[in-house]
Amino acid sequence: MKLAFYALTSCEGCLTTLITNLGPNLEGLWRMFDIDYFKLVREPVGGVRIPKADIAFVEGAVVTDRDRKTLNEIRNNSSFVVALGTCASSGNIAYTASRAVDLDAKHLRDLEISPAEPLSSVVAVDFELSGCPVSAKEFTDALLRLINSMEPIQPDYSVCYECRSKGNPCLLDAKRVCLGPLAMGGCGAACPTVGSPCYSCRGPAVEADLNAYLIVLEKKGIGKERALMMLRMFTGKKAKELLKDEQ
Amino acid sequence: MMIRVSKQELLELPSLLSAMGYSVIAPIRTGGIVKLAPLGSDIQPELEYVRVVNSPKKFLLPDDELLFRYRSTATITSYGLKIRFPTAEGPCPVAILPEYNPVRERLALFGIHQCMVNSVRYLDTVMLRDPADPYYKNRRDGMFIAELDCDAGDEYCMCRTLGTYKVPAGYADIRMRKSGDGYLIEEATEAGKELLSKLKRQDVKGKYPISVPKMVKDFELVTRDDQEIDAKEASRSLVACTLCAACTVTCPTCYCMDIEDKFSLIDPSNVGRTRTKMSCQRRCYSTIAGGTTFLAAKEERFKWRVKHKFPFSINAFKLVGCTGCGNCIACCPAGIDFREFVGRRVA
Repeated sequence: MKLAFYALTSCEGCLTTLITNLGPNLEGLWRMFDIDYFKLVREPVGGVRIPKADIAFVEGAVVTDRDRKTLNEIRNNSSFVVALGTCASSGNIAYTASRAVDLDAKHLRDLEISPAEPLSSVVAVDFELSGCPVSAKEFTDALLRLINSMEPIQPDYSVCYECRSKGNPCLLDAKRVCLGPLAMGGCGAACPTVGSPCYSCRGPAVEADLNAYLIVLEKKGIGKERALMMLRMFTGKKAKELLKDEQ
Repeated sequence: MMIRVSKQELLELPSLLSAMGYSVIAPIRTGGIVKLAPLGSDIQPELEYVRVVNSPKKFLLPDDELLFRYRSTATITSYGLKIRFPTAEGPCPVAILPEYNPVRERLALFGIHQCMVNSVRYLDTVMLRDPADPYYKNRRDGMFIAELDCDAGDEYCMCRTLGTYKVPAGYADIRMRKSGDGYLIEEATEAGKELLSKLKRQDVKGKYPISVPKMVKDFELVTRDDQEIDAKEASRSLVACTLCAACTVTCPTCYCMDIEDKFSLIDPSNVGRTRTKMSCQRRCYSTIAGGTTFLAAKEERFKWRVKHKFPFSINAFKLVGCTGCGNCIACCPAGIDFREFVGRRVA
């Protein structure tokens, strides 16, 4: 089975995470699969730039025209396209940031930049793996389910679910803005566990309810402005639906 | 037999328990909250507390537990790895590996309140019913419980209403309560007797006092019937529910579990069947093939939780599933109070 790992406009942190965090699994990955293209590790010299692959993992947001062309080529050459990380699945920081600057300014126009979009705005995406960076464990689970002809699963719970089961003190009780109730879980509540609020880097939870969350903030006596700013930061296009009533 | 000890002598008990071979778990104050955690040699257990944010469940039913490993007939083909699952037709291609070795660790719960002891009783009733769950039984057998009486609950407690301030016989090995500037300890089992024999003792005559904890808000139970709970209007108070599932995670008696097969890239044919925690507040709890979700609305999920605690548990186990600890209210970001659905406030 052929796998390929691409990176569009991004920090390449997701691919780096896979290399560093897969540990002994990385060896299994190279042994079991044909990997013709792995950005940062193996890129073909000359010949077909985007090889044919069964599963393509694509990191990064679509920002430049070159990204758009590459992504279309990836889609045409791959049977299954997986968006790897929050940039690819929702646009991440680039989504909001690129809409806040004037892209028509001359120095930016030379680079053929357009507002950042997640992969799903350009091509059909078969599965999205969230995370900034993506979790190596979730990647392995998704890959092993895919090759067994099972649909990979996204966590259907919020960050609070794991945070509470770790017995952490609630940051909302300490009057700090934490997006835990809105954010997609699966990270093991990494940030709240060390006392840092959740910024929802994995995008909104499957059943995120912004209205309920704002009532909670009001009950706790916390202003909503900071929460909305934090929500816009990472969730990109996915927050658009949630935030449509909020300005 | 009842003895009187000073606080200093009481705090020697955890080290005596570890000397007897127990892994001691006790309430520990950290970051403004109290939680049950393994007791290190340099940490003092917290004795003046009202609630712990977790419960004995965390140690009796772990969040993620390997049940057994099996060797599937996985083959790596040019199309990737193919694992054949056991099917109804034909011989089962799976061999269960007998490589599961339970770790025999004797747990001692030190200084837990009556509501938590009652939660162990409820979990026992569920998990040790015929056929007993071997994984749970393995941890439960030989466990030591040192119960510490709670005299006053906070605004979320409801043990007075449910009678769970009483400790059923056979569940606590020793009972402790604050009395003046010292503590009274009563031995309740042979294991408790053995522990107390190691302590410098000052015997006290009389009966171990039983007092009803003071409640900030008092309720009387009015609804136990599932149809009555269904008929109640809940949508207004649930508008702030974020479906975070903190209520079921912190509940000491929520025991719902999921079964997952875990693969690894190192040895793909060696599959670990694991039991992971589950919650009725999650969508996948009631989602079936094809995507239909039975408990789709918040209101339905909330009522399902309350119904499981009251009518379902009473019908199935003759035991109320709620121990009145109040964790689900105290830990709910929205402060949703189930007591209003089953009880009536009394002055």
